[in-house]
Amino acid sequence: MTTDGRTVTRLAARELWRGIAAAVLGLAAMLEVVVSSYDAAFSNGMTGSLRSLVDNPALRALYGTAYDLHSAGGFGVWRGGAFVLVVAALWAALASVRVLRGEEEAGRWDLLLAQPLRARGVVVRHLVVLLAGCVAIGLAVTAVFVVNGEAADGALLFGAGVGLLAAGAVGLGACAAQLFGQRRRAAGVAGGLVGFAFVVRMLSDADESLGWLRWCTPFGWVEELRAFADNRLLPLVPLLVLPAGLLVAAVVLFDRRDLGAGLIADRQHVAARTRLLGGLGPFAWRERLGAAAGWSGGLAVYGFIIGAITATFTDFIRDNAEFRRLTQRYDIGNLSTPRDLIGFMAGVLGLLLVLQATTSLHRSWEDERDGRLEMLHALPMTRTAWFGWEISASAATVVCSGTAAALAMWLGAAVGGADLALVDTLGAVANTACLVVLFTGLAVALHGLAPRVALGVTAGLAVVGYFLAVLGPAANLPEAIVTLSPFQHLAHVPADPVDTLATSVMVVAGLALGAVGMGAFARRDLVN
Amino acid sequence: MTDAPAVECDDLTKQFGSVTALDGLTLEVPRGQVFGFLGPNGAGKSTTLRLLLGLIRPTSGRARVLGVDVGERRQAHQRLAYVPGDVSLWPRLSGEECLTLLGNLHGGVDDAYRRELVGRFELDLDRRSRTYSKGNRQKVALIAAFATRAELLLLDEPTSGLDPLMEREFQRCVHEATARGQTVFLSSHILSEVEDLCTRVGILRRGALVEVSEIGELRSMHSVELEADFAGSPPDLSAVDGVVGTERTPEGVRLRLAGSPRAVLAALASTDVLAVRTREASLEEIFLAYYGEPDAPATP
Repeated sequence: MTTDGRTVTRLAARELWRGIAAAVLGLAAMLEVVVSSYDAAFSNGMTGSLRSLVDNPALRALYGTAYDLHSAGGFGVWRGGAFVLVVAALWAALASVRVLRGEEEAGRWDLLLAQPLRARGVVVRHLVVLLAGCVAIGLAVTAVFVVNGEAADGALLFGAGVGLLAAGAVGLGACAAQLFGQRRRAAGVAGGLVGFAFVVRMLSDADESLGWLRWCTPFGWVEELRAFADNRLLPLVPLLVLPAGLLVAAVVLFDRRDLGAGLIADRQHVAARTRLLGGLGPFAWRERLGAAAGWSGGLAVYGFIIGAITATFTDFIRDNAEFRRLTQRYDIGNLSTPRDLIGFMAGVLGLLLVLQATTSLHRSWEDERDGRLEMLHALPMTRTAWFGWEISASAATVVCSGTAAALAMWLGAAVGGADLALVDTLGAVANTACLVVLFTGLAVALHGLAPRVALGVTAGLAVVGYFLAVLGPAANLPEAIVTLSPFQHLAHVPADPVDTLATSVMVVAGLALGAVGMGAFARRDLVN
Repeated sequence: MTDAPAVECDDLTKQFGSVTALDGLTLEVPRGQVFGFLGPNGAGKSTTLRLLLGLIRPTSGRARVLGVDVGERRQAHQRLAYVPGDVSLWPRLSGEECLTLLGNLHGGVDDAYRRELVGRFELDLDRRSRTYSKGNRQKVALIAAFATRAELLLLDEPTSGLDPLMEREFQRCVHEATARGQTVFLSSHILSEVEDLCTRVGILRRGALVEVSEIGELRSMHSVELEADFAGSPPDLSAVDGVVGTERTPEGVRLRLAGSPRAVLAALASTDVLAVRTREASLEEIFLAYYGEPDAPATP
């Protein structure tokens, strides 16, 4: 006799529904803002010059090839597509690893599979729930376009592309979960491959001669659908085959391995490396070294691209009175010199640095949640000292990746022929430090008061704040709401001087929140 | 402060929401003792230890370790060591790296003794701690704790993952610690362990301390169990002075006695009793009486 397998489906749904809901709502909201910000005058008035802009290699690398800029649909696919696809794929891959490896690593599947259930059925039911999430994302994407009155066929095609890409990422995560015994490693490999696939797509768009590469990456397949332009169906074939193949492979691999182990065995014995074990500070840093390297690398790539497109972009704006009028209307300000442009673009880096700081501080909570603080805080130290070092180490990783981004941006600008000094790019990135202080303060406060929600609330507010500032004016949101976003008050350094008042307010607020959090953490019970 | 007791709790209370995990614990453990802290799951043993470490804060009451308020974590923790009931280590660190980290952060670790303990507990230090079983993780925590030579050792069910050989090694370590004058506060629900190691025990039940006494004293307080066989149906003796529990047997009744048996013997004399047998209750039965049964003796 077997237990009713639907219980397993319900269990998987319980573990996943929050993440699915957040991904669906977040992606739909982001896409809605992009699509509704589309201004017909924007494309009709200057299609020719816009062409020259979107044909810039670095910009094409970032956003992909634009096939249709005459409709809000085509514009949305071009301007928002890359972001939507990357976020959907990363979410799908990481969620897949979380339920298929994380739960097992935590030992909960030992208990689950001791029940009269077919082990394979348990895996399949988890995959089905993940795929339902992909379908929901695809439908949400389609709905955004349809609600905005765009062509249904294009909307459906792009929605299918996003959903199928996410399904492929689920399959990728599921396979990684079979190959590697630790969630962290499986997630790293799966996330890394998603990133790699995106970089291949970037290369394929950066240079005509590399166009064939577009057929080598799922991100390229979605682009080749040319939704709202040619609406091609052929790319759906690989988009369907990939998830099917990966999902079958994951189930087959699952059947061939021991529970709790990966197919790729990891080394059991390691030589002791006792460096950076001498105190709280060094240890907090040691625990964050890998993440610091990853963020630094990622932000350096991003910074390089921003630097590299600067010259083309500013040339375009200088030559285009219509676009200048638009940027003024949307309160973006002058973007006609490289220093203006990187001052404007630094906001994205600010957001990424805030997210890095927040996830880095999240490790402190993971240590507590997983019980590692029980022994640590029985040692002679104060809570304040420990948490202070954790915050300092997180800040140090942010300084590393911020510096890497600024250096790379300067290098990219040199390659792209923009007139930028290293002090300009460093200043642009350093100017965002007040945001990092503000949001770190918020994360620390929440760590003291409600640690379970600290990451979600802080990261969520940062993302919402960023998009409010960047897209709010274009989407005609009321001034009173847009002005709530701290990102809105970031001066375009180095072109403009630092906004001393706004910076001071953010730093003081961040420090005050941090002090509250420190005090609360020192007084509260450790979670067991 | 050198002569302050190892552990002092004064009306220590901890509530989690509406649940009272510890209810007015007042307790003093002198230095140099091995104190057994007994109770069933959920009785509040771990809560007490976590309060003593300042990991959680009391709802009311106060506690001191070695004369230092538990809120003064840095000062208090310099002279104690702790083994949690469920040991979590840093998964990517090897056993060696975990011990190095803990040793560096505590300071004043006896390196030679630590090396000796690693050998005695047969711990493979080169493996990453995520590959360790529960028992191996416990060994890391035990080695780290004993190697500090701390004045007070707070141990929360320290042998729950160890095999019998390792359990014996643990007992040797406790004996060595007491020989050096260290105090050991040992929470457990394993009776034999407590019987072998502890001079004094406290029994916790549903967050309240129901008994503190020397092991021998405890035995003599609840020593007698009396079985009486009757020709007909047995009389109701539950109300008789000194009787704390009754139970039917095929031939008659089994009575648990506290204090003098005089009243029971007098009552039995006027019945059609056929036979009477007495027996010393085992320590286990004493604890079971404290733990679970509704008619468990309060303070005899």
